[in-house]
Amino acid sequence: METSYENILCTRLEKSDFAWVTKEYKPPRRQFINFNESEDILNSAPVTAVIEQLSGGDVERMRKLKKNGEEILKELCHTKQLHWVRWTGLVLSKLLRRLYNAVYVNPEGIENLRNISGSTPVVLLPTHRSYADFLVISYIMFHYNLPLPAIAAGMDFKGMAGVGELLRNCGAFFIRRSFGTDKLYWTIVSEYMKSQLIENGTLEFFIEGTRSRSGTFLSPKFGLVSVITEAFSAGRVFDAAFVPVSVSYDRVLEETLFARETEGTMKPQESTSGLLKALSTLKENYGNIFITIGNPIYSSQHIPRLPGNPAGNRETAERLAETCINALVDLTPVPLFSLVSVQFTTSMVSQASYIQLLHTVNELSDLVVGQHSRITQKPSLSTLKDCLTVHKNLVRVCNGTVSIKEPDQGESTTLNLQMLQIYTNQALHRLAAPATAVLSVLLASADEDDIIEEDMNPVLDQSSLVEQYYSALRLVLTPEMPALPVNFRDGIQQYQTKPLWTEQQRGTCSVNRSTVTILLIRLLYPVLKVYSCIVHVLLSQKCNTECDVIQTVRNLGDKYWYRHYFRNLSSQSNFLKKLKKDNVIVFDKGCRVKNGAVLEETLNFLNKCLATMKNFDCDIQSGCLQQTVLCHSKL
Amino acid sequence: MTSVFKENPDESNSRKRNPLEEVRQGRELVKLDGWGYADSGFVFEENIVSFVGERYKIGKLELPYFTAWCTDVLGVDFSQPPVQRRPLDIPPPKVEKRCLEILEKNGVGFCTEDRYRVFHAHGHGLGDIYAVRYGSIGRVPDLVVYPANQAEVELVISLAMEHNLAIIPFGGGTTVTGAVNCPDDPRSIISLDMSRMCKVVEIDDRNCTATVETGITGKHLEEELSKSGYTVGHEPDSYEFSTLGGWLSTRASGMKKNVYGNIEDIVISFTLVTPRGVVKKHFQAPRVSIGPDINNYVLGSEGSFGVFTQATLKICKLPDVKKHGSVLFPDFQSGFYFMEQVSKEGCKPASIRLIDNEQFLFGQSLKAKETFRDRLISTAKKFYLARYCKFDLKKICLVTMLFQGEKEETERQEKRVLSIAADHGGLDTGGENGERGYTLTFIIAYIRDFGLDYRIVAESFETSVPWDKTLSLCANVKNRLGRECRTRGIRHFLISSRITQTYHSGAVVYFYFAFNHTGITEDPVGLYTELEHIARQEILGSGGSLSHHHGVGKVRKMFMPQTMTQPALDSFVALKNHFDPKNIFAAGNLYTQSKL
Repeated sequence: METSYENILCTRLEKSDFAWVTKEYKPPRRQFINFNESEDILNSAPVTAVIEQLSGGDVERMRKLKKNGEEILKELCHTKQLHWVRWTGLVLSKLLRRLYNAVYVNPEGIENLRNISGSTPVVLLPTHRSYADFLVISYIMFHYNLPLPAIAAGMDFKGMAGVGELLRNCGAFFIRRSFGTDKLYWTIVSEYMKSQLIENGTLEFFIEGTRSRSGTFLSPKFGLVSVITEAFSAGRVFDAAFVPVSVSYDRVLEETLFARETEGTMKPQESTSGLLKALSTLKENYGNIFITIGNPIYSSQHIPRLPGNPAGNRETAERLAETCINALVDLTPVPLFSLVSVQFTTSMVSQASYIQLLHTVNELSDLVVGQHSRITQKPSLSTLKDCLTVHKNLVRVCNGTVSIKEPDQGESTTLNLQMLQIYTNQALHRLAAPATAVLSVLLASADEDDIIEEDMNPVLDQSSLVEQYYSALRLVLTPEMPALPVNFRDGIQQYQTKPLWTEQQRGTCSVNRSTVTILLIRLLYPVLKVYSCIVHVLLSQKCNTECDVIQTVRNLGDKYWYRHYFRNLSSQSNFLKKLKKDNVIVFDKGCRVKNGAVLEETLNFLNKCLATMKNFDCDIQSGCLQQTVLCHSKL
Repeated sequence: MTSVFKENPDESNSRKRNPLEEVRQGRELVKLDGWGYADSGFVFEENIVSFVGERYKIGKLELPYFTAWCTDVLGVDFSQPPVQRRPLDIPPPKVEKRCLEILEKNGVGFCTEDRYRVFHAHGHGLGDIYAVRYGSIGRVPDLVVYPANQAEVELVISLAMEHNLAIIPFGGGTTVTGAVNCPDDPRSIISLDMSRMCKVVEIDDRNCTATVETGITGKHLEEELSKSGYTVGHEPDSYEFSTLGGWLSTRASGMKKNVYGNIEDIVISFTLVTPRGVVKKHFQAPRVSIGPDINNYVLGSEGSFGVFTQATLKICKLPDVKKHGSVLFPDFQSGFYFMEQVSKEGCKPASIRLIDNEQFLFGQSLKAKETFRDRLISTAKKFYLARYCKFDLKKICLVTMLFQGEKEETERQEKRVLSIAADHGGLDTGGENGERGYTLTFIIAYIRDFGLDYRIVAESFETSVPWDKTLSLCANVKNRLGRECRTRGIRHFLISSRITQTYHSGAVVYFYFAFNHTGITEDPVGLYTELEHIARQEILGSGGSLSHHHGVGKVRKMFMPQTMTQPALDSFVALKNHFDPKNIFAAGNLYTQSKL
């Protein structure tokens, strides 16, 4: 799946930014018609029905609710005007040129999107790694003469004087982060979005709900997805195409903020003065941006729309949201620097020789490419050097040795490691598959040793131990690492270009002890360790709230070398979410374990995994870092 | 037009055997391989399309604008020769000699001539006409029987029971659902042609009813009744050719249903002859409460239970005044809201229809060449519309109306309707435009057949839908079909919608869909069917019904499970098994077998 990219900063015809923003903007002619019957949101049937219901027929209350509705709508809606988009584009153009070397876009995706947006209402689903995301997307839409989306944004910006209004004028509308059970609010939002989908033709929201601080994919929020699927199921639109868009940065603008937040410093409140201050300090080079537009996921192909079926089925929306996030995962290229940071975050040695680093990066890159995924840049001496320069705030190259810089005075000592972890996490979704596979083989071959070789199924057989272990692991890891292949045999084995394990006589199989396998195991170890700690804490029943659990687990991690991983709260909440979804635990009045047996079983399984991993790489627990280096010399 | 039928060698023989000259003469009037009268239709000669035949109001006419429209909109290339017709390969009739002898002995008219067997093998759907003209027709009835009265019908049914034959009732053959097409059945198939049973038996002035045999066509019925100053007022677009029996079998709907009602409102009682016996009520009361109404569960059975032989219908005095009207709207949406309000205020013109921009332009193209003076006027009109009224000529839509009844009442109604129209931004454009619209209705099927020769496949399909989903349904179907066409590389296509009827709780939408298949496919009908099914699925998904008046037949029966719950569907099977346990009436329409 080779994707080609073009750099829009240099391919555009108008050389000056001013000529560019004043160019003729001509989106493709819309070939679909729509009769929008809910332009008047407040008097639309669903909103009137909710007001009626909430007021219980009381005239005074009805009047109040109506007034309330007007305010909600005022707070919500956008006021898109093309000249605002143009002038914002001018500023953005200057900024992008200053901060980035290039903004790469896949032209094939653009042409695809052009065709779709002519014939079908489109919902853009970008990844969310930075505040810059939606600006960047509107920027390229304008550049390519594609319809400008109406964007559902979080309420955070609204508080920034001037900025909120600016974004509104560029097509953003603001949804509150939490509105509890405010039925009126939700109905108005939902009607507004449907109306925008019909009227504007292109909508945009972040399926992950919020910026991923950790660099991993967040489990999808399906609320907004369900609004669209509802509109489809109810026959309001003939189809809606969800288009995944991955926006991938060599270096995220907010890396320091995110790392501080993860280290425990509170997230600063968004404010205009803060923004201006931040902008003025942005003088460094942030590398490239890669924007990859994927293939559309049509509602009509994923949701059965049969008369007699209830409209807006929650499960179908959930499933579709998962399909979308998986598509995003597959779409997102792995930044080269992520492979560099894997080297540092999986050991306690804070330096590595340049040659050794390149070697590791190459090996990891083979694994990624073997899965038909891509790396933003092919690893070579020069690209590696470039990418280390972009991240010179984190790593230092000196006499052929690459080392992690010490954080500034007054910052947490693990701040830089934490920042590196953010990048490691961006490779996690691609390295998860081989890592899980290696662990499955390890687990299976550990079992083999116990059983005396009689009538054993070959290890790699369909129903073999490896397959069983793999599916058990996949079940545990899925919320954290979406898009893991469904089974070992078809999903993983055939994609491996490098032998991670060797089949031996009688069909048994053992993992090759190499730099890569050790890295992979070390990558997975902290993840499973966090899980086991969570289960442990839950079983001890000492914590009452979700926050308590997360905090306790976080503190448990302090004694390990991989403590930076323990501070990544999204991993913990992902796992807790899964347990809640499986109905194993409930948080209502305090934390309640509903299914202790399952938890015990999970704990046993996790401990077994951890023990096996420790067996394979005895330095994991102690954190003695020489191991990787030793392996190298063997090679 | 050359006949595509092979001459039957023993034709002179069979003619001698059959006392059916009058039926044959009637059939000679109509085309055997297309819609309508043999002497009417569109032709392309000397670089221009003309309509020939004197039967319709548009008369014999050259159509320069329509010629241009065909080229522009549908990409017709008139320089290409028309599609070659192919002679049909018709299997010889397979029927036991004994059966023929029994019919002959009892004096029942029948015929086994190829051309009539073929005529009875199809309706007028796109696939039917395409097959007759250019392809293969598939199974053909082995025998056509022309009963003259109910006794003869009963005799044919008992003959079928005894000798295990299948029967398909046949009225005007105007079905577009494949309802008269032969099923895959090993038995000999009889097409039971009802056209000889076409008498008005009795007119009851006091009770305002007429008793009529079911083989009568709509046109004939109205002619007969108007002699006594009456009308039934049931006017489906096919009424020149379709028969009372067909209306009963499909739950038909007429253009003027706002005044006269649909067929279920018009029919008071009927005689249905089934293999189990005659189904009939012993009285003729205006309304009864004696259990589930037989009328309701037998109407619309599409020839699966038996055959209707006679019915008693409500009749009305002919109206004093008939007046057409038309209103131009800036767009479809405003025209639609006007229709909705007219319906909800209860002031119902006999007919009221909204056509979209595509169809409006199409209708305009069917005008004679304008003289210089006419052209001046029409240019001025366009200028007035565009500049003064700010109408976008690419968006305007037309509502056509028919008012009829007592003079004063009609005038009052018209005034009220026009004032509602003004509230919605409509512009009164007079009666002439309205009348054109209704004339076009009868012409349109001829155009479809003409298009076939020039590689255009076209068909109409309809649905009924509640008010709140009507607009989105129209948009959804157009959008879906448009996208499907483009992804299949179809460059020239037309999708047009029209609101043809309104009810208190919703409206009826009629779609025309046509495309040029030059260079796209070798099997245009197959592609059309595929697209029509996609459209139907979109209709069902958008809250529309499977059919408002065309029926289900064979072409839509796969959608039946989506229309109601299983116990409801099973009741059809139970009724079928009750009336016709041996499946003599084997057309296989609707949902009459639990396995589809």
